[in-house]
Amino acid sequence: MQNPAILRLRSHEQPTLGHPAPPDERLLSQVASGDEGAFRILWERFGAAVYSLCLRRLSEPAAAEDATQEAFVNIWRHARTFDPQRGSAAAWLFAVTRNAAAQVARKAPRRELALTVLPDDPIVHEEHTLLRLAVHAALTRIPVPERCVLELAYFEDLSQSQIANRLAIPLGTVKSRTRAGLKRLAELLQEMQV
Amino acid sequence: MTSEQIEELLRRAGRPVQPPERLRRAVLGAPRHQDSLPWLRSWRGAVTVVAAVALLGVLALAVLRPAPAAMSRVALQGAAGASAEVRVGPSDGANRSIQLSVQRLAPGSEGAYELWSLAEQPPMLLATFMTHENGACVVAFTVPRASQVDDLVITPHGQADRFILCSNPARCPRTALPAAAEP
Repeated sequence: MQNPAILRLRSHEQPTLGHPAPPDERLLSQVASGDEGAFRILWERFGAAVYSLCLRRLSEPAAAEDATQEAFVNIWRHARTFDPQRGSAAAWLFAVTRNAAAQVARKAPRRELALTVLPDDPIVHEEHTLLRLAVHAALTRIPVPERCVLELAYFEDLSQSQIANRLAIPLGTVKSRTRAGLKRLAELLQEMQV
Repeated sequence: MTSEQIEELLRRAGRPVQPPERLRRAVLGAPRHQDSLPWLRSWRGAVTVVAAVALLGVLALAVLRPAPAAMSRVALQGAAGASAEVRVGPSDGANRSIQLSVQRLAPGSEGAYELWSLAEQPPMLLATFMTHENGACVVAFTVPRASQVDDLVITPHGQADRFILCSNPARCPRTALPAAAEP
C-alpha cells in the first residue's frame, strides 16, 4: 500500500517527471509560439507558487484566484515579450504575477483589498519573494521521492527519523534522498538564475 | 549555493498553497478561450488589413461601380445650373437598370426629390432621392423592363406638379432654384 504522503504529492506531479524537464526559458519560448502543452507544464511548475504569492499579497482567496488567472492569461498573451538577455524566466514570471496582483487590488477597492505592506527594505523583500517563487517552482522539478523527503523535513519540520517512520523507509534512504534533493534543488536554482 | 543556504530557503519558503482545481481548469482552459492565440495574433495585423481592404473594396464597388452599360441617356436641366442625367441600362430579365446622377441640386427645404416619367400614363414615379450638401447624388435602381423612361422630370417630394428639372425644357419654367455650392 502506498504512503498517503506520496499519493498526495503525486497529485502535483508534472507530466514530464522522469524525463529531462525543459528549462523555464524554453517553456516560455514554446508558449510564445502557442504550445498549450508547454503552458500546461508552466502551470504545473509555477501555478502553486504564483497562487501562493498572490494569496500572500492579497490575503483573500478569491482575489488571489483572480490575480493568478490574470497572471497566466498575461503569460499566455505576452510570453513573446520575455527576453532572456534581460533576466531570468522566474524573474519575468514574478514581475507578471506582481503586476497582476497589483491590478486586481486596484480594480477592487470596494473589497478593501490591499497589497501587503512591504518591510523597510522593499528590494530585499522582493528578492525573498522571488526566491520563494523559484524554490516552489524548482521543487516541482525534482523526483517525487526526493521532493517528499524535503517537504516533510522543511515544511513539516520532521526529523529524519520521523520521516523514515512516516514513509516506512530506512533512515539511510532518507539521508541520501535529502542530500540528492538539496543538490538537485541547488542546480535548478542556479539554472533559474535567481 | 550551499546545502545550508538551500535548507534556509526551503524553511523560509514554506509549503506553497495549492490552487483550487477550478482555478487550474480556468487557467488551462484560457488558451482555448483566448481569441489572441499567438499564431493568430501574429497575423492579426495582416488579417485586419485584409479585412479593411476588402471592406473598402466593397464600398468602392457600391459607390463607384461603373454605370450600367447605357442603352440610352436622358439629360435633365433646371435653373441655377442644376442638372441630372439618367442612364438607362439593358434589361436584366424582367427589370431594367437605371442610374440617376444629379449635380448642383441643393438639398433645399423640401428635403427629398422625386424622379417621374411623364412618358408613362399616368406618370410613373421612378425614384425618391436626396442630394448631398454639395448638391450631388447618384442613385441606382431598377424599373420594369417595359417602362417608358422618357420625358423625365424631377419634383420636390410631395409636389408632383412643380417641375424643377426636366428632360423636355418646355416643361420647366426658368424659375430660380437654390443653387448648390460647388463641390
